Amino acid sequence: MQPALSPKPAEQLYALLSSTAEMFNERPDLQDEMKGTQGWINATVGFRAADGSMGAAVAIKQGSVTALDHLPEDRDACLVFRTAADFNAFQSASKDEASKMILKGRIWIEGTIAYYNYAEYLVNLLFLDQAKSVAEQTMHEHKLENLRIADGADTSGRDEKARRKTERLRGERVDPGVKWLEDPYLSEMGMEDFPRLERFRRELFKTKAQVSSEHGKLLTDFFVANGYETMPDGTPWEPNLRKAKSFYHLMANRQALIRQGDLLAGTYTPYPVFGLVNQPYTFGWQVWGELRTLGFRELDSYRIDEETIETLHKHVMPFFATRNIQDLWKKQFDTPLASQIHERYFAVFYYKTVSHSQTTPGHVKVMKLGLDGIRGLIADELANDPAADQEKKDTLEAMKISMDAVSSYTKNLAAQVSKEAEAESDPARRGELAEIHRILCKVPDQPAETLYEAVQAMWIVHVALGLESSDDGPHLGRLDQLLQPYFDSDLAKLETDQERQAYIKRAVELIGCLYLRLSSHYNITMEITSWMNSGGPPSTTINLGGVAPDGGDAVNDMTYVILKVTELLNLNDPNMHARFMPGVNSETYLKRVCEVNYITGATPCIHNDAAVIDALTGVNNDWPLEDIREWTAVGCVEPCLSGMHFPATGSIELNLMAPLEMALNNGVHPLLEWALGPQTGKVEEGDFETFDDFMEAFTRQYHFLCGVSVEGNNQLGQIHQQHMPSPLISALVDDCISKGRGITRGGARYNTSGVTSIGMADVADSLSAIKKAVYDDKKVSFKELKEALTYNFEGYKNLRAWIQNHVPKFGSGDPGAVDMAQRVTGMVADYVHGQQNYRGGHYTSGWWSMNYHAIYGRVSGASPSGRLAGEAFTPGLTPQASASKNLLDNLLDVAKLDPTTMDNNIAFNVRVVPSAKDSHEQTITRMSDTIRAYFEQGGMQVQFIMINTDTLRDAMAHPEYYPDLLVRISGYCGYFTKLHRDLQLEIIRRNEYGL
Amino acid sequence: MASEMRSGRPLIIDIKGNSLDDGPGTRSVVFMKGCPLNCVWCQNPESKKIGPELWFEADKCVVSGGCIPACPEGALAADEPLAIDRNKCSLCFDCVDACPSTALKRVGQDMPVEQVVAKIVPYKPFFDTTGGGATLSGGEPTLFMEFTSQLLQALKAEGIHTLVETAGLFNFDAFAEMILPHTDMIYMDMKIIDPELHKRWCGVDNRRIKENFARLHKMAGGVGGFSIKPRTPLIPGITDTDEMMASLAEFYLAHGVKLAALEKNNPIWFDKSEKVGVEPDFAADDPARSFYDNQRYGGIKQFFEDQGITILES
Repeated sequence: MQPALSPKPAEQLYALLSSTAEMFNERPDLQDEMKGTQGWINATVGFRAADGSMGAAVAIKQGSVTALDHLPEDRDACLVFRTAADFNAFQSASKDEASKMILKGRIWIEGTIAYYNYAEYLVNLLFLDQAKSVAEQTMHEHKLENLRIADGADTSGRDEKARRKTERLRGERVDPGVKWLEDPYLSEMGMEDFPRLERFRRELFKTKAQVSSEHGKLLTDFFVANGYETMPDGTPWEPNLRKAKSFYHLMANRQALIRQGDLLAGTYTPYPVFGLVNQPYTFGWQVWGELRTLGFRELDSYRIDEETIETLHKHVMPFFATRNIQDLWKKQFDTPLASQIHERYFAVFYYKTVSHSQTTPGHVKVMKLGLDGIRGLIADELANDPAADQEKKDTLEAMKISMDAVSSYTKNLAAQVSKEAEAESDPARRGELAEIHRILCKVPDQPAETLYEAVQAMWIVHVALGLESSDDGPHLGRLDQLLQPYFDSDLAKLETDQERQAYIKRAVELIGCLYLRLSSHYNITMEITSWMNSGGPPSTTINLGGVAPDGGDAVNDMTYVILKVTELLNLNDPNMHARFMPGVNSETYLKRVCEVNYITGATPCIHNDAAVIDALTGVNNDWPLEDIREWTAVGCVEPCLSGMHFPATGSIELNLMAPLEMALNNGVHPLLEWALGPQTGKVEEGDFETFDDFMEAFTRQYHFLCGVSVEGNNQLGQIHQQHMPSPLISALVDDCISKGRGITRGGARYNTSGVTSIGMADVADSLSAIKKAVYDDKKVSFKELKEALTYNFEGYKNLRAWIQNHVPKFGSGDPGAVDMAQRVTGMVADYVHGQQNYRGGHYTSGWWSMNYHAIYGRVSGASPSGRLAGEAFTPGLTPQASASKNLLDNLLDVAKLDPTTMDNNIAFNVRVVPSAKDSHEQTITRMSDTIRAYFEQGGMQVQFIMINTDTLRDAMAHPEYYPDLLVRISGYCGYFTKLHRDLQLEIIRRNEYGL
Repeated sequence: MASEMRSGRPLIIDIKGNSLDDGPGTRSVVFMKGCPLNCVWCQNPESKKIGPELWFEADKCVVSGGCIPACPEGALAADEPLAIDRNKCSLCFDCVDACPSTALKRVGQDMPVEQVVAKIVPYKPFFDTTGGGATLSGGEPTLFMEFTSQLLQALKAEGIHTLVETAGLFNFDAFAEMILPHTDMIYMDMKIIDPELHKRWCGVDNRRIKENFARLHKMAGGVGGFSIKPRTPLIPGITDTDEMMASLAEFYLAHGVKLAALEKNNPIWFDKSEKVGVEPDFAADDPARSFYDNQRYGGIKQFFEDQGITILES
């Protein structure tokens, strides 16, 4: 059939490209768009069908566009359609539909993707109005669907948040580390006491984030002048020095700003309220094609001005088109299988294409030693190691330059603040600015001596760390531990109670300003990424409580100050984590964590210190306990030993259903029809005599996929070593200085790389279904079950009903179902722990999903568990909503899993709705009692969304009433009304348990 | 006579693992099948009869067609989705085995004491932290004194707090000997004080119920002993009239009751009736088919509290 049809689509394609080319050439005004600051932007972009039925290209060269009726060998990029029919569908597809086609593997891009994006940018110039009206139409359709979903929903949720805030509990002073707070819950304080914070918060919510080109522009300026691959004299750049010198140029020349009225100086972008960073070497390049549609797209739409578009389009993007992590990886390793899998979305995502993927640098070093102190350590190290190799010398030199970059920026900030102070007419504000100026003249070069100095130093260094590598998760770590010494010594100097009360209030305000600084920036993402990660902020994590390195109770005054700020501001960023050590931390503390979670609806998430520490000691028996006790949750939930560990925790995000589908199809992924895995047997031919035989096939497919993933991640690690060595982070992580190696080169004391497996509950339940239906009860032949999956259970409703109602699921309390989950987690952890990364460490095994459970669900066919094709998986390792009506069954089953199979932590999401009969206090008590029991049984982590279904339905249709409706996706928090609809519906489908 | 003890063990309707409404803390509730009363508003219509029943949940039915030929009595017919002729049904439950979706279910499982305990014990950590435990309910657990007694003892042996929910129609001496020593809490229904009306709406005389309550109330509250709480369901126009409330308050005052519970009518049970094939005796517009009026509830609560009786919403 295909060959007979082929001439027609091929002709159509060529005709389309020809007419588009003609439209360009008829518009001389557009010629300028093809000329960049570094010359003409030339690219050849092909279009082909994978079935060979068509192939053509456009050549964009020296300002003219030419259609070619063939595919030139030297094309830069190529858009591939699975078949000619997909080409037809794509032509009439809305952005929404096109995204679905990409996710379903109907379309993908080969080669240097940025050049395809360039072509897309040009095409958008011609069809912008059309794109806008299609986007509006889609939004309108969604609005109508949302109104249907919300029909009849109770609207009392619109006032719920305000109501929950009115009945705050008082706390008792019982924690040994609490010295100053009479009522640690600070129940008397409300938002009305903090007009500054209230104003900042209001402005944040009403401001649409604005795209900045500052970061990309300054780096491009530097590299155009100084070369990227080689220096002007032709010698190749040493990676650390290239990074450090370009970073210095960035920091010394970027705008030094303080937001009007702010207590903290320094901003991420030139837009102090809410700006977007574009880091072109990680994933900023991806939005090239969408620069003109960012302003009106449905998800994550931003403001962008003409000058920024021009700078990014003409200056930054052309330079980084081939100098970004993804393209460098593909070129250097000849488009490895790993990159092909990555770019087709169905099975593995490599976070190294986005960032280092998470670490907590040692902010304590900046606070205690100052950058000057660290400079001293470097000088001592060089003096004491005459045999230092060149890499060590270069690495340490790069650290110094990077720290100088921070100092230079701070100096500019001080000058700016001084200028503003002079011009300030309000004496109170002038006083504030004078104090900020004093602080900026001291930190971060010198050690901090007050809380204010410590927080200002931390904020500047945090900005610098984010701009040095990728604005994605250099985390703040154990903020209460870091700041308590300053809080304590500040208070000790005060004499009257009145002074002390005023100071405590000021501390809340200061931390509030820090929060609002943290939430003042997003990363710019392309639309398909917003599909995957809508509403996902950079999400810096802050950790509270737990135990100190000596095992003692770490809860202190600052723990409660920070909890108060979390309650007041109700933001999705920073991402809050509370550690609770049963038997050490107090009930008072746990209850306060629960109260904040109840008031905010979704944060903090709560970790069992004992279980996480067990997991880490169990897997790493050579790591000292006092170091393990310094663990912080980074990224979503993953453990990182603060200031001494490079855990790259999100390196590999793997769809666990993919190897299962491949095992069912003899190595072929059914959606992509791609024979990539080993041939492990044919279900139709009865190759699996026993269930264990099939389990073996699944295991082999998993080993294959994870093996490729590890290889890909290790390749990417090498790319990071060459292009993103990050000397500033390295200066703050033990033992990079003494080893003379950056974090990407194994300089950290502890080196691991993280895997997270997505879809665990769906996979375990599917295996249970195969075992029971096919092998134990012989209800159906394996062949017939597979047919049912192929037809998405259409015509197999009885089988589906039987499976759904007769096969006990993980989370139901059935021992067999838990055993199956253990088998899966054990199989994964065994393999993962045996893999070595590129830094001399091993891989870790995690069970959280960001929002990949929705994405990977969309690209997965029907599951043996009865899940239909395209339906979202459960988040993290959360059991199915239908597993049990009883929350306790869920909690007990999750608690039974072996912590050593979960050393990269878990995300266990539970949506609970308190009984209407319970008072505020009863609700909090019930929560904390339930969590305590779950932890005593071994549960590692839990996060509650405390919002009922009606509220969520109402919010889908009436987002205006719910600007800050916070929900946990898997490990991160988002505002519900800004999420992709798939995710909104997934959260609504989660069980609503009584509590 | 139904109020006499049954020596055999009851059928278990359900063990609800995490109940929030049947006593303090997190609780597991054992529902036993069979009740000597016959209240028109009964929230658990499937708990009235002692024997097993056939339960049909239309929403779950996938119209597999498997059940119709499986029925030896020809009691089932296709009817969007299914018609059950309950007169023909011999309760053989062959249809349940044929149903893939569990839309058809047998209500009432025979379970020995150990099996019931095994289902509850895993939740003990949550009972311990929340101050919860096990609640025996029904139906009427005192209808099966021997089983209930053994179950209570087995639960106590596991260190689990126990609560018995009863309608109060039992032989006092047997209760005192077999149930009380193993019970931490009793929730006893005081549905209607007037004997005539009680007989009319609940099908039996209430003299013994009132006597039992009065005696237990007198004995309660000792150190290490049990506590008792009377509860009254507020069924619009039946149990919640002004006269009823006045007589209830009078009864409480006469016996020195300072704490009592009122339960707002919850119309969800109407759905349940259909599933066991019972037509509820309420007109479509009867207020009993709606959620309870909160204003009315507030007024009643105030009425009791004005007389020194604290009201808990149970």
